[in-house]
Parts: sequence; C-alpha cells; structure tokens
Amino acid sequence: MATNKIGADKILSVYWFAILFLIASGIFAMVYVFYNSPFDVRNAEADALGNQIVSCISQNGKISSSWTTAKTSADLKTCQTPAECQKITGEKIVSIVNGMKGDLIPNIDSLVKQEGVAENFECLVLQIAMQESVLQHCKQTQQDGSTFYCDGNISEVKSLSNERETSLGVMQVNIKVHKNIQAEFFDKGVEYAVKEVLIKGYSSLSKDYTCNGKTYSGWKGALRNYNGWNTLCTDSSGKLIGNPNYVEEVLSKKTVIQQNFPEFCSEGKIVDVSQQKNLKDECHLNFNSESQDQYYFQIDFYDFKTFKISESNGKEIISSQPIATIFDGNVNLKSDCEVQETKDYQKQSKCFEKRFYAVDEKNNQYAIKITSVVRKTEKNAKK
Amino acid sequence: MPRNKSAQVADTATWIVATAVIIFILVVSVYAASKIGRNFEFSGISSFNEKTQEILGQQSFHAYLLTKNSNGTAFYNQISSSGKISSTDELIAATLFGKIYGIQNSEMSLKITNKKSESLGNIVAQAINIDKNNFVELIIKLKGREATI
Repeated sequence: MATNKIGADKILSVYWFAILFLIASGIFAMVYVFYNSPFDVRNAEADALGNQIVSCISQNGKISSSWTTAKTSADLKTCQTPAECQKITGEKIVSIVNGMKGDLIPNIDSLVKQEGVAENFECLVLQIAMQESVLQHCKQTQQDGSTFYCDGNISEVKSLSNERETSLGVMQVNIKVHKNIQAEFFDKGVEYAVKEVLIKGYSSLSKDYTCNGKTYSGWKGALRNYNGWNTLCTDSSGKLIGNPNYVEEVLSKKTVIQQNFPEFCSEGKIVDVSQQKNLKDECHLNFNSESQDQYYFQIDFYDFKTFKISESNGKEIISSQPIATIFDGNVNLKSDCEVQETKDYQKQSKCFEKRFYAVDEKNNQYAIKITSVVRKTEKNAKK
Repeated sequence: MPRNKSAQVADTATWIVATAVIIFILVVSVYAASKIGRNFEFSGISSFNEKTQEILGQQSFHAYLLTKNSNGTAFYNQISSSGKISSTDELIAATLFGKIYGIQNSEMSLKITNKKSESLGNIVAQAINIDKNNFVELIIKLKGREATI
C-alpha cells in the first residue's frame, strides 16, 4: 500500500508540472499575442501634429496676417485680360507642381535643365499647359474676374471632344483613356497629368515615333508620351491622329513662358519652395522618421465671412474656397484622406482634420482648417 | 475492490474535467488577448480627444472675444464694460461657433458666471475673467459624442 501511495503521488506531481507548464505557456501566449499586435498611434500622432500647428499659428486666437498675405491662393485673385488670367493659372500650376515634385524623380530640375527642354520642371509643365490649353482651364477666360469659375463643373470646363478623346481642363487630360480622374477639377487634373502621364512617360531609353520618323528619349520622350505614341497616324478620313510635332511645339513655348513667368522661369531659376517649407521650422516640427515622407499637413485659411459648410450624406463639406493654403510633407498622402472619407482602411495613412476660428491684427476673420496626415503603416498596422 | 476502482475512476474524471476547464480558460484568454491587441488604437483614449477640443475651443473663444463689432469695439471690452451679454452678442457667437463646429452638431451657450464649468467629454467649456469674480463663459455641447472620462 505504501509503495502504491508513493507511485500515485509521483504521477500526481507529473500532472501538476504538466498543468504548470500549460498555464505558463498560456500566459506566455497571451502576452506574446497582445504585445505582438501593433499599437496604432497614427490617429493620435496626426492629432498631436494638428494641435502643434494650431498652437503655433494662433496665439490666444490671434494669427499674424503674414500667414495669409504672403501665401494668398490664386483662387482669390481676379483677372480681366487673357494675359492676366494666364498668369494666375500659371502661378497655380507652379504652386501645385512645386508641392509634388520632391516626390517624383530625384534632381528633377537638373534633369530638365540638362536636356534643355525647360528652365526647370515647373516651367516644363507650364509649357505643356500653354500648348494644351493656352493656360486656360474654363471655356471662357474668366467670369466675374474669376479664371477658375468653372472648377469642377464639367460642362463649363475647356474641353476637346471627338470619337477618340474627351480632353478636359488646363492640362487637357483625356478622360476616355484616363477613366478614374476627375480632370474637371483643376488641382486633380494637374496632379494627375504630371504624376500619371508626364512622369510615367519619362525614360532614358530611346523610342521611335512612327508618325514623324524621329526618336525620343528622356523628357522629350515624356512629352511624346503625353500626346501619345500612336502608330496609326491618320484616321480613315485622312485626318491626323495626335500631333506629330507635339514635342517640338512644346519646346518652342520655352521662350514665351520665360517671358511671362520670369519669377519662375528666367535663366538659372529654381522655383523657391521655402515659402511652403518654412512652416516646419517656424512651428518646430520634426518630420524625421525611420523612413522618408511619413507626414503631410495642410493649412487652409478661409475668409470667415464667406465660409460655408454644407452636409452631404451625413458628412460635412466645406463649400467655400480657401484664400490661402500652406502645406508641407509628402503630398501623396493627401489622397488617402479622400479614401478615408468613404472607408477607413488599416493600411492607409491616417488623416485628422480640425477647424477653428481666428482673427488677425487687422480684425480680418478666418476659419482655419488643418489637415494632418501620418503614414507609418509598417509600425502601426497589423501585417 | 470494485468500490476502490470506482473511487479511482471518479478521481481521474475530476482531474480530466479540471484540465479541460483550465485549457478552455487559457484558450479563451489567448483569443481575447489577440482580439484586444488587434483593435487597440491609442486615439480611443478620451483624454487625448478632450485635449484637442480644449485647444481648439480656447483658440476660437479667444478669437471671438478679440473680434470687433460694428462699432469697432472688441466683444471682450463690450461684455466686460457692460457686465452682460446682449442678444446680438449671443447671436453672433452662435453663428460663429455654429459655422466652426457645425450647427447640427453642436449646442452653444454664452453666459456670465462666477463659477467656471469644466470641459468633460462632449462638453467644451471655456471661460475668461471679465472682473475679479465673474467670467464670460462659453459652453459648447457636441452632439453625437458621449461624455467619457
């Protein structure tokens, strides 16, 4: 009996050890599983970034008028003559392209300058816009002084329509080919034309163009791509398809663009981005992270007297145009905010929007919208 | 002997059931840990949201008080000198904060009080002294957001 009891105790001890091991494994698994999941701080980080900007630009409800006067958006400028309106349109193009060029091709200005196609990248885009639409986004040069009166209204936007194309806006993006772009919106049209058409056509490899027998590469190849590498040169009625002299015609616009936009395109000029970049220093924002371009922010200043919010499908939409906009960081992240409005995907950047009211020293009233975006998907979203 | 055997079976059955219960509890706990970990977002911490509302509310309220009326007097000076809030002041404040927060999304009240309210959850409260004992206080109640501590 005594022997049996010792045997039973030993079996029980083994059992207890097994249970102990089981519980320890369970606790280990719980801790591992819990802490292995990423801790998503992106919303909080975007929120904190926005708060920092609010505190930086507004001191006890007062902002400096220099924020808005130095950066007044082209949208608010008025024009009467075609030349004046072209100037406003061109300035807006430069502002958009300048904001995105850092994310396109390294040393892009040097590459453009070396090839001799334009003074810098912004000026190359201006030359294309001059060729495509004579720097005119709407059907009419202006309406009540506004050259962007048609923005977003497809029936009022300058267009070219035939059986092969429906090209819209200042950059004449063909929406029959590029189906997912709302080119009737100025900003979207320019961004798409630059990023998805011009840049995608840039290659150091030479390519023959059948319709004029010439070979193009580099930026000239990109320009040829912008108009199309069509191999069928005429249609059944003998009418030309595309423009065989497109590249040469865009290059010939270099002088006129230099004359009309000397502040951007005169000899040796590189468009100064400091006006948009200095907010980072002024507000002591540190965008350094383990990988590049993880942040974006945009500050829109609205004239409070004309500031309007409308509701669409239960969502608030600001229906007025900002009088000034300041932005910095990776402009590509901005598109994630539009996606987030419909559905919040874990692996996309997180956007945070906030609004507040402020006055300047001249008692001008502003509604200010701050959009802050944080990407950092690798560390915050579950793989 | 048969009775002894029954006792042994009962004893073993108890341990088997106990082991099963332990395993069950562990599996449920591991599953819960994975679920909680997966859905954890730092932004869910309400104090963080309150801090944001506090900053925005403070900036907007200060700006409102600095805004000059049609006579060129700042609302703060007007309220502190008269010691009361006129219906016009209140209407302008309602329009102003309605535009910023969205009229459908907020309820606003502007009053003079001698006791400050605290911002809490969906309530944004801002107060500034107009004299030694009294404050002009703005309270905005944001709809659709539950008060959380």
